[in-house]
Amino acid sequence: MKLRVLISFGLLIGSLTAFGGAKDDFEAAVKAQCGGKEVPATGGRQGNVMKWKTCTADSITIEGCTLSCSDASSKIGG
Amino acid sequence: MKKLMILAMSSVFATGAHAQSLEERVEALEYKGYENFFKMSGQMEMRFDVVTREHGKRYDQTTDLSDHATSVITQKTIAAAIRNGAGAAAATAYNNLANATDCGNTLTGAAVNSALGSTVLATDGTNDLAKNGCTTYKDGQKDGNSFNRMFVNLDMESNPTNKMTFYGRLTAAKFMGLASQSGTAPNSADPFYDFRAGQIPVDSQLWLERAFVNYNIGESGVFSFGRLPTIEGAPTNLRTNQPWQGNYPLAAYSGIFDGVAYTHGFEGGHSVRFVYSPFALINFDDQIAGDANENDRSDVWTFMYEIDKRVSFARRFHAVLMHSSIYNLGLSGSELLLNLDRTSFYAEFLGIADTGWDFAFSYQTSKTASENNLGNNGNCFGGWVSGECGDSTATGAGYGFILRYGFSSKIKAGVEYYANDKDTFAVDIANNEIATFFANYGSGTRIFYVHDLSGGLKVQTEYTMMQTDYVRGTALVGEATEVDIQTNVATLRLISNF
Repeated sequence: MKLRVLISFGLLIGSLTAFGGAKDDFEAAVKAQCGGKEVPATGGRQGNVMKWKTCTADSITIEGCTLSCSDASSKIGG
Repeated sequence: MKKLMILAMSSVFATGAHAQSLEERVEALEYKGYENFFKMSGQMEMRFDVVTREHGKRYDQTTDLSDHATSVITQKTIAAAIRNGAGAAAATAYNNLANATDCGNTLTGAAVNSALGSTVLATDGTNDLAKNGCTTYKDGQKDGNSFNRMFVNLDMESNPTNKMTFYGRLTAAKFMGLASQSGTAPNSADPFYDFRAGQIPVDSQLWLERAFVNYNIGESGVFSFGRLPTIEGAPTNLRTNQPWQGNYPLAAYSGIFDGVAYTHGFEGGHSVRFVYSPFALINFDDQIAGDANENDRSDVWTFMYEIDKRVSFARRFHAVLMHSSIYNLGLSGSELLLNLDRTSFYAEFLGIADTGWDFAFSYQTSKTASENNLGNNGNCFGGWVSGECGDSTATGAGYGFILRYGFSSKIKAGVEYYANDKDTFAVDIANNEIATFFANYGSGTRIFYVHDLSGGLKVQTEYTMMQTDYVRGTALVGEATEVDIQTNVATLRLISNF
């Protein structure tokens, strides 16, 4: 598998990883920071998936909502 | 073929990252949850600096402590002999001559006799003073240089189980095309080099900047151990438009600390953290016997309170209140011991009142207590942040702020200010800035602009104006010498995240 395909999210949106997985953190962040907006359920994926490192800035704007970014690897305790 | 298309799209349309929908994001995170393999990512930066520096006062800066100490002791010995013979006035005149002699030169006995108009010293060379181990900066001296540097971070992450996560980072910091060098390059023999490993540009060597494990305990606790992410702390992130890159704010410490930590999270974005970092005082020639001056243990105990939440008047409020105590830190070859209590507070407000304005504030206060002084055998070179010869205590502070405006989440510009008073423990050991505010006895102002370009490239530029009012003889040891140094730096960064 190509290295580029393996390159994955290095940065997670959310708080302490102790409180849940990355997906749970993300959904919680959207609800908390996007006026209670619900995250649509998905069926997941099969096969090769491109993964983008989205949080290279301190915030990202998705569908009009600005989400704060945290870098779990740069925080003691995640 | 399909893979190739995906790869091509990944390269060409990396802007898709920013257009990623919530659904795609959730899909990706779901997929991530199925995988527990080792992951790598990273950052590469090319940095170009043009610096000018002007000295408004003459002073001698120590470059080699041992050589400089020999010169200082020689001067004291000669001055004492003159005082006993020709009297105090002649000794004062001699000291003035010695202090006015540039580093690298020799003040001969004959030159002293000639200047004083009488024979106060023998001229057979036994009373010559060679000023070594220092550099003289003259009043009005202007210097300038340009730097082309490269910084590479290779980040690793592994989630072997739901309870444990490993993070690692290998770092290189180098001058581009290092073809010739003079002077003494930083290397592993430097005191405290471990606290800035991989940050100070030299060559292509890779360093272990961080390697730590988070182990979840219950619903809210995390036990961490290893080489912790404590450098490049806030407010560095505001200038580069990144999430926090280190957990210790710069006003607290900028150094890589190994140790163990326990973090406990609470509802509402609150958390508390205890960190224990032992220091190693090792004699590599005989690790068991060690050095007679360095048998005491030395430790750092840190308590942190952190809050990170959305508040009514800002999209994000992120703050750290931190207190660290360093006990019994010895300095090789002397009886000087450091006991340091440092309290700091950093707070940033992002997206104030749903506008693009951000504001951050830094403050630190240090109580620096020294036992003994740097000199041995009755010679005094002062204590930490002090010119005292015996035990001493110095208390000082520093503060600063950043005001930033975001034209969008990708384009931001702002101004930074920071100032330290001359009695604080001004340290920024892991910095790689040409002019670093947090280790400066004086003040500095910086304006910056950062732009995330489409395609994954980030461009950052800044202009720094730093005024230095005081320097100390050896790092943070000794009496503060009043200086007048203006350093201006123009910086351009090209940053790629991958």
